[in-house]
Parts: sequence; C-alpha cells; structure tokens
Amino acid sequence: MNALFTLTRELEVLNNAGLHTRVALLLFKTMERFQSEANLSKEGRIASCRSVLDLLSLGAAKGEKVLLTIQGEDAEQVLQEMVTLFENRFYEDDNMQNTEF
Amino acid sequence: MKFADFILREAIRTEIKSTTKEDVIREMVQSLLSSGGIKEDEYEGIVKAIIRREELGSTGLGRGIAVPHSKHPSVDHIVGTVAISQEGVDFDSLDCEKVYLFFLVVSPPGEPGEHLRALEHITRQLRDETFCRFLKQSKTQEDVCQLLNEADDNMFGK
Repeated sequence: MNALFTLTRELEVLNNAGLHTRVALLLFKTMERFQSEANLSKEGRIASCRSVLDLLSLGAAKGEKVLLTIQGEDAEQVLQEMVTLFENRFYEDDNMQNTEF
Repeated sequence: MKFADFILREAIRTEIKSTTKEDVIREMVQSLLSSGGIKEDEYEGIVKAIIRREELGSTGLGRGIAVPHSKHPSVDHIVGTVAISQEGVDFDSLDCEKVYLFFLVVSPPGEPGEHLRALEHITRQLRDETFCRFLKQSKTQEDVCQLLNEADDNMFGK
C-alpha cells in the first residue's frame, strides 16, 4: 500500500486583485494535472481547489494568508506548483489598469 | 458586504427568456439600465466588457450557476443583479451543464477589494444548496428580494 502524503503550507496572496475568478480558474486548471486533493482555508472556511465556486467564497484579498493542505501521492508536486503560482502573483501584472478580474 | 449593498432590487429578473450566453448578458445589463444602475450610453460598452471577460474563461462555475462580471469606468460603485432561467442556458460552464442562476456584477476599476467581497458574498450563498433551490423556485422579484434579505441575515452559506 502506498503512503498517503499530507502536506500543509501557509501562503500569502500577493497580487493586487486577490483570489478572483481568473486566479480561481488557474488553480482549478492546475489541479486537473494532479491526482491529489488540495484545499485552501481561511478563517475556518475550507475551499476545494477543484471548485472555483469554493475558492471564490474565500474572498482572499491581497495580503491575506491562506492555508494549503494537500493529500495524495503527488502532493509534493502540487505543493511546488501552488507555491510557484502564489509567489509569482499568479502571473498577473498589477500595474496593468485593464487587467480583467 | 451584503446583497443589499450592490444588488439593484428593481433589476432582478425571474423567468428570463434568453437562450444564449450573449442574450442573457444583454438582458441582465438591460435590467440594470432600466432600473437606473447604469447610463444608457454605457450599455453597449458594459455588455462588450462582460463578454470580453467571458472569453478569458467562463464564469459558468458549475452546478447551474454563473457570475458574469466586469469592471467598467462608468460606474462609481458596484452594481449587480440576479436572473433566473427555468429552461437553463448553455454558458460554456466548467461542468458543461446548463446555467439556471445568474449573478451579474459591474465594478469600478481600481476597487479589487470591493469586487472580491461582492463575489465572496455571492459564492458563499451559492455553495448552500438550500439557497440555490429556493432561488430557482422564486417566481417574483419579491420572492428573490426576500431570499437575498434572508441571506444577508446569515441564514445561508454558513
């Protein structure tokens, strides 16, 4: 039987627009490449990274912290991918006035 | 943020007849116009902004729900409305299912926090299956208003 990894990491939302719809879609699409289950939680509210609806309901704004919990055989890869997305502000340009939400 | 802060009660539409994504957006923006939420000469620009936003990724979030939205410089505060389709509309949703419940939001540029709070409040309620069922069953503007008031009083989405 394979070991089931559970990893957690606190992440800060760095982009100006926060965890808005397009970011939630990016996280959702990222999860399609993995088997593990990942949740983000904020102030007791838990959101599956496989649900855009859940992710938006966190209302995670710039400067706020969320707790990432991943469980599954490829948890380490998911963690790396998520950390990269958060650290790179989800590849959004905060100076672009026309960035769509 | 609560629904009372940004949903224009007079713009709420139950039993919309539109059958395409663009027509739903047009019907909902028209309802904002009719209720004084937006200016007449901004109608087309707002419709196009929302459609452009949809092209970046559908706001059909699955489970029969969509939250079409955009920012637009013609509004100085968030305005939104609710529409219900009994037949359902193909909205390119993530789960490929039809959409029955629509929350449309137009936000001023430069207020990402407010926009995020509005979407947070909407989606928090929509995670609650009872709220969705009651909303879909609503037949009149008054029914929807009452449900939104109850949601604002924390009766759903806990």
